[in-house]
Amino acid sequence: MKILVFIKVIKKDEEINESDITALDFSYKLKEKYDATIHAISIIDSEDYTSYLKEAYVRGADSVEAFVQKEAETPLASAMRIKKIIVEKHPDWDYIIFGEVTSDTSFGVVPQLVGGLLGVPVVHGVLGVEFQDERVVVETDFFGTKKCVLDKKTIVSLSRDALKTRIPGLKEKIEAKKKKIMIIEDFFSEDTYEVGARLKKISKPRPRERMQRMYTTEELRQVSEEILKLARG
Amino acid sequence: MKIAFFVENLGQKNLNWASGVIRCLQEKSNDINIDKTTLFVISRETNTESLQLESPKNLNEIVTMYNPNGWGPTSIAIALEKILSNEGFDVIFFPEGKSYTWIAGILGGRIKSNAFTEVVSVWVEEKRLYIERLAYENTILQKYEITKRPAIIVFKKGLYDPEEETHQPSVRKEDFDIKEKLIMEDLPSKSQVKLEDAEIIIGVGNGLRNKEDIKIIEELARLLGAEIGCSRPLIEKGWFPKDRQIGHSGVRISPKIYIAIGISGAPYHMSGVEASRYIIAVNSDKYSPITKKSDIIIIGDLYEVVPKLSEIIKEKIGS
Repeated sequence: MKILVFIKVIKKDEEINESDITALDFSYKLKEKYDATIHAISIIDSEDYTSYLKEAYVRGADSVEAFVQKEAETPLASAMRIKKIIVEKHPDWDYIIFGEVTSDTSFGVVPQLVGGLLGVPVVHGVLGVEFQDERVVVETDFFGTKKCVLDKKTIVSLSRDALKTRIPGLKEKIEAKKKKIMIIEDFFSEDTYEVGARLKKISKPRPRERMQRMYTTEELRQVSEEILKLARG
Repeated sequence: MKIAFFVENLGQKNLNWASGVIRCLQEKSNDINIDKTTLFVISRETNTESLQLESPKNLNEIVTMYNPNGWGPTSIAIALEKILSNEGFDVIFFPEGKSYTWIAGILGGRIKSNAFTEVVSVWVEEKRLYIERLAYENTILQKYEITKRPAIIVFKKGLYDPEEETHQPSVRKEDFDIKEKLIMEDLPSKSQVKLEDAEIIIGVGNGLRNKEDIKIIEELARLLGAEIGCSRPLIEKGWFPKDRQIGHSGVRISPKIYIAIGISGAPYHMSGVEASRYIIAVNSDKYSPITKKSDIIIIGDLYEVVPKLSEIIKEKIGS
C-alpha cells in the first residue's frame, strides 16, 4: 500500500502545519496496520525550510520530497502542482492524505480541488478514525455526522482533532536526523503561481466593532435585561 | 451578471445569507448589472414545483435539485457543474461551513476554477470581479481579482443584512440521475438541534471544572431557549459530542446571541463565532482575549454569575 502525505511548513511557526501532523499520524497507523509505505511531500519556496520537514521522518515517513518553487498564490495553483506531482511521480498511490486546512492561507479547499482535478473521491475533514479488521472507517460531517469506509484511491483530509497526537520515541528522532530530504527544483516549469485569480493586495482586516460593555457581578440584573432585550429584538 | 447560490435547506438563515451577499455586490460594485439570482437547493422530494415560500425580493428564483440516488459531495458537484455550464452563471456562492467547502472544492477541481473560502466581501469594478478573504488566523485580508469564470466563492455568514422587502420567488425543479462515488452512512446525531441553525447559543470552555457542572449551564440554556456548544478542550475530555464543538475545526455558528462562558477566546474558537450578531462573555479575567471581541462582558466567576443570572431571568420570565 502506498500513501502520499502532503505537508506544509508554516514559516512563521517554523514547523509543520498542525493538521498535517495529524495526517502523518494517521498515515503511520495505516502503515502499522497494512504494511504501507509513507511518502511525505512538500512544496516550499526555499531550501531554508527543508530542515523542518525532518519531522515527517520522525513520524514514520519512508521518504520525504521537497519541491522547491515560489509559493503558489491561489488554491487552484497549489492543487494543480500537487496533481502534477501525483500523476508524474506517484501514479501508483493508494491513499492521498492531507491536513484539513493550513493555519497560514486557510484555503481549506486544496484536497478537494485535487480530488476534482483527478476525478477521485474525497473524504473531507475526518473527525474520527476506527480500524475494523481489514477496514478503515472514518467519521466526518456532511450536513450531519456520517461514517464511511475508506476505499483505496481516495483522498482524505483530516481535522487536527481526528486523532490524539502521537509522541514519537527518542529512537525515531535520532534515526530521522540521519535521513535525507530529497530536494527537487524547477519541477513546475510553467507559470503556476496564480491560476484563475490574481492576488492584488494584502491588508489588515477591519475588525467587526463590538460594544465591549463591561459589567461586574453586582450588575447582573441590568445585564439580564440587556440579554432578554437582545433575544427578543 | 447571473448569480447562483447553493444551500442544503431553505431555512430563513440561508435565504437571508444569500440576500445579504447580493446586497454586498450591489452596494460595493461601481458597475454591475444583475440579470438573475437563483438559489439551488437539494431536495429529497420529487414534487416541489408547488413549493411556496417567502424570500427576500432580491432572490428571483428557487430551484430544487432532485436525485433518486441521494446526494453526496461529488454528485452535488457534478450537478452544479452541469447547471453552471447550461445556464451560464458567472458566479456561484456557498455559505461557509465544512460541507459546503467540501462541495465547492470538488466543483472547482472539476471545472478548473478556484474555490475561495473565508470570503468577506465581493464586488465588480470595471467589469472585473474582486473578493476579499481572511487568512493567517484572520489577521490579514487578501484581495483577489478572479479572472476565471464561473467563480466559486464560499462566503461568510452574518456580515450583510438581507433585503427587507419580500416576495414569492418562482420555483422550478431540476432532475438528475447521478450516482455518488462516496458511500456515507448517517450516524445518529446525539443532539436535536444543529448549532448552525440555533438563534441563541451558549458556549462552554475550560473554565468549567467538572462535567457535572454542565447542569448549571443547562438551566440557563433552558431559560433562554439556547443550544449548548463548547470549545475544543471539552470535546477532548469527552464531555460533549463532536458535533457540539464550536470553532474553526468544529461548527461555524451565526446565532443572534452567543454567550461564551469560561472561554478565553483563542483565535481558532473565535473564527467560528465572529458571525454572531452579539457576543456575551462570562470570564473572570478582564484581560482575556475574548473581552476585546465581545459586546457584553461580565467579569466574574462563572460559578457565581451563571446561577445568579438564571435566577434573575427566571424571576423576569417565570420558570
